[in-house]
Amino acid sequence: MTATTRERPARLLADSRSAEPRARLAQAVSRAEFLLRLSRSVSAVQNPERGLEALVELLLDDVVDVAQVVVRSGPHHLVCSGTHVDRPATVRRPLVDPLPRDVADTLETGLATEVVLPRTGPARREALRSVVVDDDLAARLELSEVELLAVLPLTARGRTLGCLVVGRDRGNHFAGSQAFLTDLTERIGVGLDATLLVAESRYVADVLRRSLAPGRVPEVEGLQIATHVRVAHESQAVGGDFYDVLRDPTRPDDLVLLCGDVTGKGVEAAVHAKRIRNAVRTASLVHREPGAVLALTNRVLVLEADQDDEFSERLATAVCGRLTRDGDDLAVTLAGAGHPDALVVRADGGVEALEGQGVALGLMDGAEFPETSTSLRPGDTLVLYTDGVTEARGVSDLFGQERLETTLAAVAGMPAAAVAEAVALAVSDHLGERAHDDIALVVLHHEAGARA
Amino acid sequence: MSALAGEVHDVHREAYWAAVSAGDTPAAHAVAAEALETGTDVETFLEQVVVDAQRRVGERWASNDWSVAQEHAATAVSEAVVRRLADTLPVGSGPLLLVACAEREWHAMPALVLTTTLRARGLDAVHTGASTSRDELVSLILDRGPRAVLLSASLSSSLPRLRRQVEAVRGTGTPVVVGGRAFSGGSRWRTLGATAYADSPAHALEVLGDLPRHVGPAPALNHPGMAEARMVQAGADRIVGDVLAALDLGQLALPPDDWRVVLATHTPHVVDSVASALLCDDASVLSEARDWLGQVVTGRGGDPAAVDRLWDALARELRDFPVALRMLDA
Repeated sequence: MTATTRERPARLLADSRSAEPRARLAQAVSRAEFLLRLSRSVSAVQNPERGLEALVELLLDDVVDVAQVVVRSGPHHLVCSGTHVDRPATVRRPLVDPLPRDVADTLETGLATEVVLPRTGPARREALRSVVVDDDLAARLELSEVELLAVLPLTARGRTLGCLVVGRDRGNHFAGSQAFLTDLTERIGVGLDATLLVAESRYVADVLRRSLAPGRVPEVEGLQIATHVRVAHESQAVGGDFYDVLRDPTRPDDLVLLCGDVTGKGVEAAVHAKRIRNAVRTASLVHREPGAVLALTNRVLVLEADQDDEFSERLATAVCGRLTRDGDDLAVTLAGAGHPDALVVRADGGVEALEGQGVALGLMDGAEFPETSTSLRPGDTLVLYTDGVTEARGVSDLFGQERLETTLAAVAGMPAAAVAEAVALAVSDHLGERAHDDIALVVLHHEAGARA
Repeated sequence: MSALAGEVHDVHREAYWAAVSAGDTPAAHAVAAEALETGTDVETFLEQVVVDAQRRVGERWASNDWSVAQEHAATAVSEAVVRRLADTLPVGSGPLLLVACAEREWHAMPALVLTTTLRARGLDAVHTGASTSRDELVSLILDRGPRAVLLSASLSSSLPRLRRQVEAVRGTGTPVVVGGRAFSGGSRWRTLGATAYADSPAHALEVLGDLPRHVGPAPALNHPGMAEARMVQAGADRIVGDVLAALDLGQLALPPDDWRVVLATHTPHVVDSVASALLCDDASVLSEARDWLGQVVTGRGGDPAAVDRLWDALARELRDFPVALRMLDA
């Protein structure tokens, strides 16, 4: 750190109480401009770590020579600090790690203090350690000429959410700048409060979202599995379409497949979709035949609808399948519950629908779900999808079954990822910028040539 | 057999190409594994083998030797190989970098190669998948606070959508680096408000070191073509329909392959390119689109004059758009 006075901080923090009116006016304008910039920068960067870095960097560029911000975010304290010659970085510390005494006091009482730093010796070290969190920074400041650190509370909505520590190089204090510093900390408090509030609710939402998102599909030798999902409400990142590929832990060649669609969109639909996936997972441990899996799942859903108003209005459609090895082929058994028919794309380009006859889930107690079967030969592909694919709205018509089958015929025998991409691309081109329903697609390709 | 880290054996390059063109994923994995075992590093393999194969895929498609389906299959093989290579690399250190594709671009390859190159250099890069919407980008930024977002665009028709992504990313204070074929030449990236431009993964690595830590919102675009850009964007579907309805191919001979279909398929791209040219204030976007379509039509045995007729139909349709007309003429 140099001892020369930097121009911008000098202008903003100069003691102008006895200066010419014109100089005082010029300083007032500079301060107002700076505060506006600060508010913009603090409210724009809504990620807490990055927001603190942007804030500290701005303070170090324009106002002070040393800065440290401490705020509480969830189970952590976030600490961002630096000097005007280095780049600030944010570290997370568990709440149980003690903070330096003066910082902890300000967080508790909401009162500002000033810490005068003795010139040298153990007393200087100790004074620094009572304020500065980062050991490395404290060691560097020990060798600097900073004489005073101001510890200022950051408050919003009547509570102290953090604390700002600022210091200036030798000979530069904060006399005549108290009102400016108060304005400064108020704006920082309000801005950070909003950022932290957003981060807190996003954290909760993210945990829920991850629990609702489809799980990873297992790797099965000789079988390629690709999926494609587009949700209707992109900002919510979850929707009512769902899929699952479940493997029998004792027999890796025995898979239960599921693809379905719950009425409604967004997070409410996703919660219901998760319940259905769970019901199917449990049912598949009892039965391996898709018709029986759907029948048991249906009983659970009818029971839930009777007992719980929240689920009484929600319909769901699904197709459930079982894939087992049959010599060089894969035997497929499918049962449908009011869902678009699964398609088999033969290696030679033929496309066949596997008809499912059952009614939608959760409608009728005791409903039965008839099964259909076929064989996947090497090079064949099985495609499960939801009606968001065929009902994607174009300029003048829906994407439709025919376009889907044409698209699939053109990629017969191709790797699963290429098939999923081709359908995703065709639907996306058809949709353009128009709104759409949830879309889900599961592609299972029986590899030719590889040991199946 | 051993090679220096920066070298690739021709035999690997050709074996890889053979696997990709046969759509044979296991064979491609095997070539990659062997090349790495004999001392080629991941970055070199990507640059000299995978990207080279993708270039050949593009050429085969443009010259009509390959169908779209074959192109998809070959690309899927390379994608699987790159993903596996990425999975073998240790999680990088340092600040997070998000790598995303332009909205409605479904070819993830360029972004995937870039992500893997960054990871091979020890950086913490995450690929957000093909076609990342603005909402998804902003959510990821709020949750993960990346140091920068890198956006790839292969098609010039994607640039209006890319501009909206740039606005969204900069709105969070995050620097945004753009790259990809859509930016060939000129200063399109600057007009669109990107913080920096990189023309290769290696260049991206250089650019990253010089990025500002935080940026302000993207400046508004006010050049004369902007109002037209917005109108063309909003009315794209109708314009495409009207242009195709009015397109008069007259006596141009029809070869066996029906290139009228080809024209119809690519007209949406051309109309989006008009919006791009207006938005970037750069007529070369349109001359590139014209040259490219000319090659596609000729490659399929069509008369290149058909492209002139398409341009005439566009000019009639856009008669009330003076800036667009000047650009179509250029």
